[in-house]
Amino acid sequence: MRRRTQKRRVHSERGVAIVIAIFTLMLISVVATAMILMSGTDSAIKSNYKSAMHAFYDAKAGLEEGRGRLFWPNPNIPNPVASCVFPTPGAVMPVTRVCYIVNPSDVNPLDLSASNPYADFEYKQEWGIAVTDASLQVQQPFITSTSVIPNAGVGGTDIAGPLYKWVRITPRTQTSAKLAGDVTDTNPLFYNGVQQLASSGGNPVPNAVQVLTITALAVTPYGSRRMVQYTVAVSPLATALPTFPSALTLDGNGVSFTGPNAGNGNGNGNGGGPGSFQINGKDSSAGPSGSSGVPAIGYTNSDDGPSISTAAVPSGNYLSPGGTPNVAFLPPSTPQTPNGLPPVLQTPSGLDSLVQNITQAADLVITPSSGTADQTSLPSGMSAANPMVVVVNGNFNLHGNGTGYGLLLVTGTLDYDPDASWNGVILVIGKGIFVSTKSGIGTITGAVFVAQTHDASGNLLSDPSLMRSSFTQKGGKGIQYSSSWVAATQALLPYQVLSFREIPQATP
Amino acid sequence: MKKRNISASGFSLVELLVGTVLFTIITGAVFSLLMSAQLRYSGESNVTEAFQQANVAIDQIVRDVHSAGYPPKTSLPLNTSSDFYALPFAWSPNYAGIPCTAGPGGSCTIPGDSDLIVEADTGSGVKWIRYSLQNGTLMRGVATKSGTDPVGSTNANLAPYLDNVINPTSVPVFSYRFDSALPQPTSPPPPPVSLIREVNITLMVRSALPDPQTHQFRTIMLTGQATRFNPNQ
Repeated sequence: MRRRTQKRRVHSERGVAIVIAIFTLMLISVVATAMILMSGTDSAIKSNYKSAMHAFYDAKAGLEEGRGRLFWPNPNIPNPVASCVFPTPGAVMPVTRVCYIVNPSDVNPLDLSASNPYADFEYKQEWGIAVTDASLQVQQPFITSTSVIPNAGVGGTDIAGPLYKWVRITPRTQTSAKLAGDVTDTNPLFYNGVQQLASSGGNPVPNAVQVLTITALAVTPYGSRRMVQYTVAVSPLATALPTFPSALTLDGNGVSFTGPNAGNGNGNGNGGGPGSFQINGKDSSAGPSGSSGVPAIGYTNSDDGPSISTAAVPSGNYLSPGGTPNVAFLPPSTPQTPNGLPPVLQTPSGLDSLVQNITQAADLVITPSSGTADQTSLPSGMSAANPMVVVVNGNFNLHGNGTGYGLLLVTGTLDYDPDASWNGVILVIGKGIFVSTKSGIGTITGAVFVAQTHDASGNLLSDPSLMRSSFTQKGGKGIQYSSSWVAATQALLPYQVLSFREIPQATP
Repeated sequence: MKKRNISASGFSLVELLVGTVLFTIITGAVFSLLMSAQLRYSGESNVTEAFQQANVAIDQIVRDVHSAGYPPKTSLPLNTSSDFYALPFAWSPNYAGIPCTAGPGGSCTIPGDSDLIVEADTGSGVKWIRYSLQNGTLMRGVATKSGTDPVGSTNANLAPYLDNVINPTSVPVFSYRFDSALPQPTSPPPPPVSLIREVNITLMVRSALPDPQTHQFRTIMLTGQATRFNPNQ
C-alpha cells in the first residue's frame, strides 16, 4: 500500500519537472538570445562596413582596369578598348560614343528596367539623354573584363577579380562635366598639361590631348553599391614632351652648362677617347644621314644663350641637323609660338605635377634611406625589350658598366659615371643637378631634361624665375638624341588621372 | 473514498520547504546569471553604439577626403571663379592666399590636430566640409564654397556629429602625410596644405554611459586612413 502511494506521488510530480525544465530553458534562452543579438549587431556593423569598402575598392579597380586598358604599349596585340574608344586611329573619340567593359559578361547596363540593379542611369544625369537613345553609338557586344584570370589559381581554378559590374568610357564635354563655363557646349574637352580646354571639335592647341571620362559601378553580393569616376588624359610626358625639343634641355633661368675641359671627353684624363664626347641632336633613329633631329642643347631663358654657347665648344662636339642651331632657345608656348615649351614645363608646380604623375606610374620608386642610391638598385629585369620607368626619390649614382633602359627620373642630384649607358630618357627634375666628372665610354641614347623645382631645403620654388638647373659632363661619349627611344619611353606611361570623384548612390 | 484520499494527499511541509529552497536557489542563480548578462549586454551596447557612431564618422570623413579637390582647377576654363573649383583642403589663416604650412611646427590653425576643412563637390556644387573637435564633440558643418572665409562659413552650420570624443592632446584626431618628391632634410620644414595626400584619423570615443558593472566609462579607439585621389593643383 505504501509503495503504491509513493508511486502515485511520483507520478503526480511529473508535470512539475516539465514546468521547471521549461522555465529554466526559457531563462537560458533569453540569456543566449541576448548574447547572440549583441554579437550579431557587432558583426552586422562590421559586415556593412566591409561590404561598403569592398564595393568602393571594386569600383576603383574597375576604373584602373579601364585606365590601364586604354593604354596599350604593345602595338602588335589588339586592344579592344582603344579600338572602341578611338574608332578612327589618330582621331578624337566622338562625343556620341559609349564604350563599356562588363564584368561578368552577362551584365547589361543598357537594360534600364527597374529590376536591373546594374542599369546605367548615371549617363542621363551627365548627358541629359538616356544611354539607350538612338543618337548614341553604344558599342556592342560589350568588352568583357580581364579581371578574372582563368585557370591560374591553385589546381587550375580561376582567380576571381574585383566585383565591379561595368566600366563606361566616354569623352568629356562641358555638358557632361556640368561644371563652370558653357554647360551647353558638347564639343570634346582637351588637356594641355595644365588646363582642360574647350574646343570646337578638334585639338585647340598643338600637343593637347583629349580628356576622357571613366565611370565604374560596383555592387557587392550584400547589396552595397558604389560608383566612382575618373577623368583621364594621355600621360603628361607625352603631352609635355612628345618628341623632346633637344638632346639636352636645360629648363629654367640662369642655367649652368659645363662640358669637357679639353673638349674631347677625356674628363679627368683616366680614360675615354679623344674627341669622343658629343651632344648630338641628329636623330640616330633616322639613319646615318642625320637629316632630322633636334638641337644639341636647348635652353628656355634667352639670356642664358651666350654662356651656354661659350661653354659648348668646340662646336664640332655639339651637333644638330642642317639648318638647326646647335644651341637653341626654346621659347614658351604662346599663340604666336604654339610649338614652344608647353606650360607644364614653365613652372615649378607644373613640373612637380609631372613628377608626381610619373611617380604614380613607375615600375620602381627608389627612396634611398641614406639619401643616395646607386645603379645596383635598378631592376634586374630591365632590358631593351623590357624598358622600365624608374623614379629615384633622392640622389642617384648611375655608375658601373651596365646599361639602363627606359625612363629614369631623379629628384635629387644625378651623379653619372659615363662608363654606364642609358637608352631612353633621363629626367633630372627636383634639385635639377646633373654632374659627371669622370671619363668613360658610355652613352646616353635618347634625351636628357634638367630642371630645378625645389630649393635646397626641399621647398617647392614659388616663382619660375628662381628655377636653376645645372649640367656638368666632363667625359664619356655624351648624349645621342634618338626619337625611337624617346617614343619607346613615352609608351611606358599610362593615362594620367586628372580628377576623381564618387557619385552618390541610393543604397551606399 | 480511500483512493481519493491518497490521490489528494499533498506534499509534506518538509517537501515543500526543501522544494521552495531549491527553487529559490536555482531561480536566484538563473536570475543572477541573467542580471549579469543584462548588465554586460547593457555595457557592451554602450560600447557598440560608440563604436558604430565612430565607425560612421570615420567612413564619412574617408569619403569626403577621397573626393577632396574635385573638381580641380585644371578641369575648368581659365579664369573661372575659385568658387567653382575645389582645392583639396581649405586652411586658416590667410585663405585663399599662400597656403599655410601644416603638421608639427606648421603655421596653420586649420588643418590642425582637431580641425579639418575638405573642399569637394559631392553632387551639389563645391562645398566646404568641416570637421572640428569642440569640447569633446566632433562637429561637422557643410557650407557652399563662396568667398574666402571657410571658417566663418562653416561655423554657422556646425552640428554635433560624434559625441564623447576624448582624444588627448598627444593623440590628434587628424594627422597628415604629404606628397614630397625630394628626400626630406634632417629638419624638414612643415609642408604646405596643398601637398596633403593622406589624412590619418584617430578617434578615441568614450561610451555614453558608464559600464553598469564596473561603473567606469569604457573607451574605444578607431583609426582610419583617407587618401586624396585627386592630383595636386
